[in-house]
Amino acid sequence: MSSEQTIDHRTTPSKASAALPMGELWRPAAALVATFAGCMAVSSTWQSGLIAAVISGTIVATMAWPRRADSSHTARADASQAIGATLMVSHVVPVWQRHIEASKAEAEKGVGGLLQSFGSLSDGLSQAAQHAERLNPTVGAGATDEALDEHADAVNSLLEPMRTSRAERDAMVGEMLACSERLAELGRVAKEVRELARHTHLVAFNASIEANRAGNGSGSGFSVVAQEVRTLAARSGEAGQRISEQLNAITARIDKLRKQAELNSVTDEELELIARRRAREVAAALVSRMASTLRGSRELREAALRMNNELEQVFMGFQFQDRLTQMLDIVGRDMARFADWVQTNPAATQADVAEWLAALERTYTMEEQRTFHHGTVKIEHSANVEFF
Amino acid sequence: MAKTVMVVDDSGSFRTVVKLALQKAGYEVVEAADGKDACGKLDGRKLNLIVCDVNMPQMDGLTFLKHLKNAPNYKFTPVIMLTTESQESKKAEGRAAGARAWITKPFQPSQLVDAVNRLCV
Repeated sequence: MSSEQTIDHRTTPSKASAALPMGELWRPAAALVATFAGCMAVSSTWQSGLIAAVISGTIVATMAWPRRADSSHTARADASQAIGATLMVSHVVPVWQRHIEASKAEAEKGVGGLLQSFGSLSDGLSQAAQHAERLNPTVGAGATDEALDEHADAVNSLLEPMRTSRAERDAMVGEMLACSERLAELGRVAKEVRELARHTHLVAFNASIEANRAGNGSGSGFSVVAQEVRTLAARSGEAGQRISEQLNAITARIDKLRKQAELNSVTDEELELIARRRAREVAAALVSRMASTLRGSRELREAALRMNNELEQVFMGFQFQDRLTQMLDIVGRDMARFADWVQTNPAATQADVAEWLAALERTYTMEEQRTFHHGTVKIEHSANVEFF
Repeated sequence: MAKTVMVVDDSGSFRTVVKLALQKAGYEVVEAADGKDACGKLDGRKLNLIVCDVNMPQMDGLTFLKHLKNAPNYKFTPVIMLTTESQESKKAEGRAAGARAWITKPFQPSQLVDAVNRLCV
């Protein structure tokens, strides 16, 4: 704020003071600009700063003209000067007002669009945070054991196929044992066959001796029969031997399979332990993955909350537009009032200035406007809620 | 069922700021551009609370508040004044007219939501 803008307007002027030249009338206008520019600056936003810079710069530059004119032409006749200034005001002030209205409209439009965009962004973040909130079960120590206990029936159901398979294998081993006993019985039968063959052979041998003793007559036929019986006995003995050998081989094979099955045999308790161990490994892997996902959800939720807090500050910042509009309204109305006043008052007194400034101050709605009007130090105050 | 709050303010962007804050808190919002517009919307609809500016064209917030207190269906509807006005005389006027709270702009959206939660009937 320039020194020109910080003049003390609180001085009570004398009603009897002499009429001021037209250039002095810019004093309340300068106060108006100071108030406007100061209030723009308090919003601390680039939008309002830009608008303030453009508008107040234009106003101050334009107001400087009659000041310079006033100082460089002090000898000029007041009447002609007043007419010139009035003409200027009547043409320039409406242009300022149009600029102010355009600035208000542009600010309203721009802020409205930004608010909609930020609003959508805020909604999206809130939804993401709520979604993450719903996915917030904790995964603590012992979660794997808890999961296994909760789903013990499911784990046990995993054992059923193994138990069925084991029962079928046991039944098969039982059958093999029964077969083995039958084979042993067959072995004994084969041994009897060999004994019978050996005995038959012995009988046939004795018959052959008796046939030789009987001589060539009836004994020769009997000798042939004895020989055939001996041949049959030998073949029976060989067949018995082969049967025994085959039976031994089959029995050995069955014994080997049975022993192997018995070696692979596990108890129900062992099966359950194996199943639980594997289920635990799977559950631990799943819990680990779930914990990782939950960590991500938690981080997402925290980020969304942080962003929402930031957005709240953004929304608060956007309130500058409402304040800006109110300030511009007051400036615009006072400019119009000034333009009208100048038309009928080519000269002013100190009393006129004081009255003008007091009327202007009564239109303020914000503490900041009063602060900047007087050029005093702004007192920071936080927004609070006062309940009645 | 969501509660309904009427927001009365001549600044469209400001109404948007308030609406976003309240909608996020689960409220339905009805907007009015000034006191006269708000009077036209006192048509029997259920309003659980009204957030109202003071300085507005056509009908200011304090005049609207007095009008509201004479409306049989709405005289008990709580009103929060949300305004740039911070003068004690204005606050006293609002309190006398029946306002339940006074929030000076600029405000924190969370502060407004807390106040609405507290006063909403």
